[in-house]
Amino acid sequence: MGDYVILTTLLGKKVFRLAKVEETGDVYFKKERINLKTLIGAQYNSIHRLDRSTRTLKHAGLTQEQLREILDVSFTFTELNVDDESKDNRLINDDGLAQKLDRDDIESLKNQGMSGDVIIKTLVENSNTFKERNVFSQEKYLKKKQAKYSNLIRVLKPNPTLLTEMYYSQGPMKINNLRIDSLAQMLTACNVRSGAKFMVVDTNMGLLTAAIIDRLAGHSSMFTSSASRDYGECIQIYLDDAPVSSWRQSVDALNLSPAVIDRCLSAINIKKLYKWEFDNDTKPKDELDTEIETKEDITPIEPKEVDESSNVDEPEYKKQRLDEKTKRKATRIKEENRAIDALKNKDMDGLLIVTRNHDPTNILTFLIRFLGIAQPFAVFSLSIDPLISCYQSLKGIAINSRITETWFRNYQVLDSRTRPEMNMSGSGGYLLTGIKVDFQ
Amino acid sequence: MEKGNTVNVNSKKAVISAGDHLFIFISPKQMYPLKVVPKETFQTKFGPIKHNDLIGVKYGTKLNLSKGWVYVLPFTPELWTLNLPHRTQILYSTDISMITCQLNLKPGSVVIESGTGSGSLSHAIIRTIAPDGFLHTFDFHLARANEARKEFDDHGLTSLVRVENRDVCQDGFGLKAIADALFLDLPHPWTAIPFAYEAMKPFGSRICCFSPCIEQVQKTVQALQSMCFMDIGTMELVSRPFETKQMKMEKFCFTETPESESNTTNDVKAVPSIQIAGHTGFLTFATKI
Repeated sequence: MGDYVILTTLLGKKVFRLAKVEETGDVYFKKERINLKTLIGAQYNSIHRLDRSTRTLKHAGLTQEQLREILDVSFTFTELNVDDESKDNRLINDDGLAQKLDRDDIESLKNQGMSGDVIIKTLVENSNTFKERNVFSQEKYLKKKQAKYSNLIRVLKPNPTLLTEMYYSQGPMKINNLRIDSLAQMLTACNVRSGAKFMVVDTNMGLLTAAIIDRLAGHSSMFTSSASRDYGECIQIYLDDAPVSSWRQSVDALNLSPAVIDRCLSAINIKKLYKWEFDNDTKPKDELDTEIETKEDITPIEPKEVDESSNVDEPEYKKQRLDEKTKRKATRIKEENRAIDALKNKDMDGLLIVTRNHDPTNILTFLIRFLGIAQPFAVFSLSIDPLISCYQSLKGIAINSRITETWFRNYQVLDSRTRPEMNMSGSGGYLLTGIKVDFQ
Repeated sequence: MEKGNTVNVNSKKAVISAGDHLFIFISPKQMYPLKVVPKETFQTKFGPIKHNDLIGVKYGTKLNLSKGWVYVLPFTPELWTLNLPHRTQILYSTDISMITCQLNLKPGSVVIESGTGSGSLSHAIIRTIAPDGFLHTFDFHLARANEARKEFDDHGLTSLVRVENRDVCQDGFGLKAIADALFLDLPHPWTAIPFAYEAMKPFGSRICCFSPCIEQVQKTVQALQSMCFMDIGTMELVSRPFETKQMKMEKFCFTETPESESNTTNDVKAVPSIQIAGHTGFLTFATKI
């Protein structure tokens, strides 16, 4: 309850949807409106059947044999098989006339509550071209149709890798093209591990932050937060005056207990940190947040339109809103103080930077002062030029500095048809990694 | 008692003490692993280092030797991967990063690995699953398994890893439904898939098979399909390093004008390395449900 899940299709091209399990309220997935309340208490990574009449998910309870049948389409295919493999697509024209059934017919089949299998069988019977296709092509046709009309849905447990895959599939620029291989390498390059302290500049749905938190807290955090265990810390350093609304979306999706989050995650605005660093002699610590508070409401927790909707409740609403604002501010100050506490010794164990709209160079040269000697850093950039300027700025500060890019491609592995996929990502961005040292 | 400043052991350690494992850094291509043993001496091309002189020194310090200087760096799995004694082909950090991510490794994960090989991946796994995870690692080569065990012991990792000499393709893992993640780097990984299935937890545990050749991948994928693994995907990664260097480039002059202001640019450019490692292996991942 209140937990996040990722819904995905069992068959066909993967479609992902991050959703919160709640008693009321529906989510949209593959154009279907679904209520997730039946998932409460369900096992992660289980397969569910969408009941289209109640719009809820029911545990499919598939046996291994049933699953085998569903997954192994060629098996079903053998029943329909004509053993002539030599057919090719020379007789097939994409004129839209191949299928005798039109959309209304198919919709009515669906509304009659027919299962995907029955629909597909009907489709095959009504297809002019199916018999003209070769074996591979028939198989492909079946797979496509099966995926389209299947009501089987997998309920996955969100983790940083899946979240990356999900956001990336929604459009790489949503996460600044921080491809999974780049994210993965930032984590290893910075030796991210439980018990250590990390600084992160992250403007990508909190993805990098979530990945760090995951490796600090791990499995243990799902049960209890053992008071003796030092998970380490992750300090989110944000560049905007107030954090953007999505700054912790990925962290929330990990379903960690608030007690754990409280212990290992904090945040501070970089300008405040800068101020603190350069005039901390003159100011007591509590005062560090009087300046940049005016733009507080950038955090769009409540949409603005609500104001107009109900005039009667306005004072009440305003008060509530004010309360929330003070609460948020209090949390923020608490987090800032914790961040300063962790940073003030300047012995952080790693620094990870992903910026979207800013040149990382002066951010890096400022933040690297908080990094412990002999500790690693990693900077990601969509283009190589900012990293060259970072590289130059590190002369006399770092060793083992390297700029790399990763060439990464997926493969289609099928019997006698194994090859790289037709489309690949042209670049996953560039990385600068290195180790800070003491040149004295 | 904890030995040395090893893979994950607390990072607050800023000063070198006896028993530490560290690296002597001369250049990115010249680093040496070193265990600090009092009274011993380590020879470098810049002159000898007395171990006693290292004790009490801060990590990251520039050490002046008779003919030059070096840096002293703390142990990390990544530096270890670059400098470990090779007993086999090893996995490098680019693949290791992806494996760690795709297998969802984190503190508390129980992981199975075969073969152990030179322990390059093992160290990275242990770093990520510490302090409460565990690695069961298997190698069919007796001497290799023994070497690895000795090394883990020396690195103070015995509470996090167990090495066994066993041919998992023949005899399985002897473990049932305990692994959150399982990794196979074997000549015939497909023969171990049924055993792997048995050793893995239900509902979302992950498997990775590393194979250099596509024929191996083909067979592995079929085996995975036959056991109803989900999310089967094969990928390949190649890290492309760049060399950053000052590059002088002259502006071409069309007319014979006398030397004008500046006809040459002298900027730092990033140039892709000319000769790089082009292929390591294919990574195949899948989920058990």
